[in-house]
Amino acid sequence: MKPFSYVNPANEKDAVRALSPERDKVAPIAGGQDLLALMKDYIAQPDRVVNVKGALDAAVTPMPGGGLKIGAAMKVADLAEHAEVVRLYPALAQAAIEVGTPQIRNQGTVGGNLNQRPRCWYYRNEEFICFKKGGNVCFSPAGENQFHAIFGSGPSFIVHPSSLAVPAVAYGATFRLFGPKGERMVPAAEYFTMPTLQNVQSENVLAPDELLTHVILPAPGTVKSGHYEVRYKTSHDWPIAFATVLLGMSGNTVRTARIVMGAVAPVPWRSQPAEAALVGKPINEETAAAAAEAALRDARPLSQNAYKIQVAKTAVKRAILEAGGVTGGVKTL
Amino acid sequence: MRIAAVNALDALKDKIAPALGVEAATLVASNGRIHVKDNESKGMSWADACKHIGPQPISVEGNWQPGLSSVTTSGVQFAEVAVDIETGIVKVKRVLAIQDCGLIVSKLTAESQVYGGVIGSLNFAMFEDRILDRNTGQMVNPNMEWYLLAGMSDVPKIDVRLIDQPERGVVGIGEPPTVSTAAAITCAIRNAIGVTVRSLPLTPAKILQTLAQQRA
Repeated sequence: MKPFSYVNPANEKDAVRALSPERDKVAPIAGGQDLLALMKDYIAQPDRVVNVKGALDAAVTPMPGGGLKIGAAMKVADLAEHAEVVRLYPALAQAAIEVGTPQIRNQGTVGGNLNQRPRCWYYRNEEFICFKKGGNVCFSPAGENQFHAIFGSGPSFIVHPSSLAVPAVAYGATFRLFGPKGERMVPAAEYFTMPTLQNVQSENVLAPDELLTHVILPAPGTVKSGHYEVRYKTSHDWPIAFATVLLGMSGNTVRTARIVMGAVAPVPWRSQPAEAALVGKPINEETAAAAAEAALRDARPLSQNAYKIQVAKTAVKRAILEAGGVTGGVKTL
Repeated sequence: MRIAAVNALDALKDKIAPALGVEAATLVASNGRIHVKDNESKGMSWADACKHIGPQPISVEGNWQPGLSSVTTSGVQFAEVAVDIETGIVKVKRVLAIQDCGLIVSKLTAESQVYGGVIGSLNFAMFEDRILDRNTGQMVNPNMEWYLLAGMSDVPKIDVRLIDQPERGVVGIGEPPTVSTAAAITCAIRNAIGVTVRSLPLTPAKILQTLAQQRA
């Protein structure tokens, strides 16, 4: 990797002062599970690396009103096991425990997971200068796109790689960002950005001299949750598609629904058509399947990823059934 | 290997025959000594014989001879799979490998070879894929992230039964166990869903496509 200077700020103010407003010049590092690989592949070549493990909060703090404030430096493994997270936001804990491997979960942090760069194999290959690296093309539509997006129309067709982002959006989380001008609060649903020619070099609204310091989860209310990930290998593989479903019930009928899909679009993909299809209905195989159909109705596959539509439908359906407490969702011959 | 070992013993006999005052051809090795055949007292211990080796170690080769290579090795494998027809994901639950071994020199090593061969073939069937970008020819997955290999949780229960036939002598066991597993898995998938997927690796995309074509 390119040689770099390394600083250890004591707090978020000092950390932000060490960053640069110019993109790609300075990188913050926590667990390093993404950054180190990017640097070794020469995709990221910062002049300076800022260790934020000591500067950022790593704790879970209860909020007045019943929510939780999670420090961005919290390890993914700790998030997955935290009793209050498991109790109040089970879909988030479920997503956390399926991240990577035990080694990755014990080094990687919540903030790092949310801010990680895409896994697209053109982006991660030094030889391909794509939109995200200042080029003027996305190589996936005409190339190998079996793992790329089925929603959106470019210019980039990456799928957002964070598993935590999807339940964060589903639970209505807010991210606290801190920069040279102070703090700002951004709802998770607005943090991740669909690509345009202007913003394509980033996947979110975080400025180069800002840090994501906290994930603030509102009180969940009485919701039933489901989270279902489909991955090919069981050991250490990225999901093909996954979904978080939160249901507010009136007796046996759905009163409110939040259905968010992952690994299908450049951002966590909330489906209002699927939610509308469920409201007023009971939860069973038919209603779940119908909602899943609605969720994927507007999917626009590329040349090799049409199979993702079926996989995503299954993920949505099974997450709904799990939320509704309907067992036996897995059908094998 | 056996030939090389015999050649090495002959070289050692040549070294110590002058010290014993006999022809090397009269010597045999047994019970930790090298001695004249049928006259165990006329000889020396293995350790003493090796002291005669001198500064240049004995280094010999054993060369291949006709009849040594494995021909007509055989094996049979069975696979049990579960196919999730809503996602196309195949889970291999169990593989039973019955392997003809000829003379088994080391049972533990031979079994390990079969385990390894089955795992290798499982990877061939399920995971490994050298994916080239169709426009530039570059391999898009030259890494452990996307060149998929079975992890601990992807390896099924593997049962190995070796057939010991010493009268056949040593036959091969490195490659033969890799031959059947992929076919057994594909046959098991056919048994499960009614169609044969004719392309490896057996990715969810291919399973779903095959199921869709079957319905059409």
